[in-house]
Amino acid sequence: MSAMDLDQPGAGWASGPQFDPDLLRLYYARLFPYDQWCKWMAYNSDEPGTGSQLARRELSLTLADDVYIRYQCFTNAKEMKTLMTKRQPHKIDIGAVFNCVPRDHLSVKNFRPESRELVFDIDLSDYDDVRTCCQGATVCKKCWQYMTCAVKVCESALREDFGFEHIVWIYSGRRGVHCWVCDETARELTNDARLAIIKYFSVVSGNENQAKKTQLSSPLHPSLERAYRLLEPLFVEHVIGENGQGLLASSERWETLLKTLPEEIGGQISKHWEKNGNDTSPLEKWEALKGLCVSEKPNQAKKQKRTSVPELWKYETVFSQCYPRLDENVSKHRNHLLKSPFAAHPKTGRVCVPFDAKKVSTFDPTTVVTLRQLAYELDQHSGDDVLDLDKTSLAHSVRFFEKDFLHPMMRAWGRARRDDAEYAAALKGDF
Amino acid sequence: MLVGNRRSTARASAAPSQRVTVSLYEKPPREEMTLEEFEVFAVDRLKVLRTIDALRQKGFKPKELEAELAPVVRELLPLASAGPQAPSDARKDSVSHFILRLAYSRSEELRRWFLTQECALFRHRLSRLRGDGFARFLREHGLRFEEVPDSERDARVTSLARIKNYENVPAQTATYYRVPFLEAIDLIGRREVYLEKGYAYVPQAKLHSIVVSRFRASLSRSLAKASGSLAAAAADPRLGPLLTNVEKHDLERQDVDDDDIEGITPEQIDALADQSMPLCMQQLHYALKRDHKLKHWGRQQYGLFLKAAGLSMEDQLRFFQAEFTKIMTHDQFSKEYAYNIRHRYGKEGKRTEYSPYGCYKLVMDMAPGPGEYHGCPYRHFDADHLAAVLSKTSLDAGEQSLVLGKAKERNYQIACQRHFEFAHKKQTVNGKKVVANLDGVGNHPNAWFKASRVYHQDLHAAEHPEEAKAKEEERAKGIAAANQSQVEGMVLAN
Ligand SMILES: [Zn+2]
Repeated sequence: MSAMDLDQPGAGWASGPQFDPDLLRLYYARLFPYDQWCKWMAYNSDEPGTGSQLARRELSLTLADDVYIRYQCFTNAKEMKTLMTKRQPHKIDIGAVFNCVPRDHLSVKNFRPESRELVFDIDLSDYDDVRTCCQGATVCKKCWQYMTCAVKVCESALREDFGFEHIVWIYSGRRGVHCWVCDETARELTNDARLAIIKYFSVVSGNENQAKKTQLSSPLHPSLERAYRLLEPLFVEHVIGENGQGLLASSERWETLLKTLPEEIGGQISKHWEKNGNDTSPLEKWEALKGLCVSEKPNQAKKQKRTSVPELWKYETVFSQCYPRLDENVSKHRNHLLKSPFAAHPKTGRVCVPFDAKKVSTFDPTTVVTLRQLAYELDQHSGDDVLDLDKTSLAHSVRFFEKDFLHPMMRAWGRARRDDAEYAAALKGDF
Repeated sequence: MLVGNRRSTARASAAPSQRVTVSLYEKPPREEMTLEEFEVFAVDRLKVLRTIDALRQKGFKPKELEAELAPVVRELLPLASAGPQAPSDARKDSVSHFILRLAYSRSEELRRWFLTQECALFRHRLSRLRGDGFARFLREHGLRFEEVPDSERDARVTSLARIKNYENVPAQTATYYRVPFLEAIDLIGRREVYLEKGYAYVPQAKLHSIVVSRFRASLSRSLAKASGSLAAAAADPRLGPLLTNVEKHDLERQDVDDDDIEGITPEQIDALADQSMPLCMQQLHYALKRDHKLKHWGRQQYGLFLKAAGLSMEDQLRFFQAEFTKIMTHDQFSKEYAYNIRHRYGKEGKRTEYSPYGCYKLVMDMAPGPGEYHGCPYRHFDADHLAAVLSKTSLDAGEQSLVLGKAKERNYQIACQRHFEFAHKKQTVNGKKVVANLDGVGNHPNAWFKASRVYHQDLHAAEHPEEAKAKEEERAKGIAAANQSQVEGMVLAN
């Protein structure tokens, strides 16, 4: 893109394509954070050159002319930049770390993936049966709150249950989020272990040929109990009200929910709300429904049973609306490809930026920086005596990535090394 | 292990008072034995492992599996813990394990199969230890676990009480062990254990599961090592043929021979889907026609099936492109999907030929998620959806409920076979008997497809004898003409 386009009156980054080959060239030449990316993927490995984790990592690139090339690799940031500026990939996907340099995959016997981060892919299009504001590829601030729900639940389980620490969340560039768990234990997980973890997280099952349902049993597992505590307030705030998805804000919507209650009770409430429904708020309605739930006693009288709702109903309702829906296939296998952080999405031009999981609810996917915006910002500050990155709003994302994810992880590597050294010294002392 | 021609009896007998426990198979036996014994042992163990496999394919849970498995193990691989039989039982168990470990180390697929069944057998054995049997097992193998101190247990008692405990010991008094979560993977997958900061709190009643996972990890490593020594063992003139024989007893062959299958073209597929595809492939075909897309595993399952059914790579590209481009541009299609189709035919990437999925894989490995239609309908549809799908077939109500019943009993492959039989009945047309060949039907979707096509071709021939006759004459003429020209050629050459 030339500076002229921008100098014309009324021109800014908001109009025109947000992604094109020229913008991409500029991005790869001046802004892509190669150093940070490579520091991350090297995982503290000592081996220089082709033995390092970084060198054995597969990247697959999709080029402009529809060509899809797999098994790309490099040993340092400089080589990575050379590769990107030469190939100008429209898509960058990260694969596994293999037992040898991926370039040699045809000549090496026993070529196999050795490690890979534990990754989650959560996509808003999997919520199409519950969201009312958008469908398919579109996203707005309202339905983004399903991502808030997902991030909160996954974060708590990954950190509190599994004890993982080095987790980074990435906006996928369009309608979802990716989670990268980078602790050594997570990277070394076998496929079986990944499958077990995915099952531990899965609550909403079913598809077009199995009725969608949450399979819960009482008492709830402690992890699900915690998920409910996290989700219920979000459910109240973003799902039931008029300003959210409106589940309890109109008779048409609440009728579908009432159908999930035992028939007699559902019918009674339906009649009642038909008359007086406008007198109560969605929150009051939810409180009333929750009040009907009683824990089942084995020797309950029949009469009582007909007028009571099983306790699990409230959990099932909240979970079927907003418990995270993970794309299992992405997480199950070590050699599944996933879009690289800091790549740009070719459909939207938005950069796949990291975001703070604690502030996910205020993250706005519709204002994430695009390649065109970056080009504009570079141009605006062309005379400034600072790094190219610092002329743009991408700086904020890169600094966050360093401060919140990369540096803590590097400090932990340092600690682990000191421990190893001390341990080795102690052993020597013993003998 | 040495294989001799005479059995050395001296070493096999041990003091009758010696007590044995379930083995972790850490040391291979060092003793002589006859070749006959060697083979009998291996085949007996294989029978046990295949029984386990069959039960698991039917979806039996560990508890149910136990009851079914017990008599089989008692007959073929007994393991007396004491008494005169104990030493020889232990010997057979150990020898047969090591033979199969070697024979099944050949490929990744065989290793995985062996590992899965052996772990199930091991779990079964542990579950049958009585009295202090389990404690003794732990002691003898030096397995130790970190016991959670009472004070730490009490601090977590509300969380621990939320986990179902097999033995109904209240959390307040139960004994818990703390293990890194990686050792409790099975329990985690079933959400049957409390996790905190990377550690699993395992009640004593579930410690079996942790031991099994250690067993699995060590066996998996041993299998990888065994594959390295397989070549040397297979070169032994006495051992080699035996190892190969053992492997011949392996998983039902999933290849379909493609001797006289005619190829298919994209234009035929709609009709063939209705006429000759098993439910699993029909589902994928109809979903593709309706949505103009299939997710990854659906494309994989259906694409490999079509390839084996005789669709050429160019035709497969054309076929998928025609559907997909109803909702995307040609550019998008070639960018995102064409590579994988060429890959399926070994034209891209690793250039390996992929074989189509058999029923075993579809039932065990291919559970579909939202928006996905792959897998085995008998296994992965709930009863209502399966009934709805069956009601659209040519089967009558009685036949439908019979098939449905088989699926409910978790005999998925038998359900599929019955469906085939009902849809391809023996009949006599114009004095000609038309009978379907059931070879492989219920084991592989392509076998189903092929058998159905042959049946319909035979039926067509019987219904139109004049056409068949004409074809026959045509062929005879062709051969005659070819012979003629050959003769002429020879004459000319002379
Ligand atoms: Zn929306």
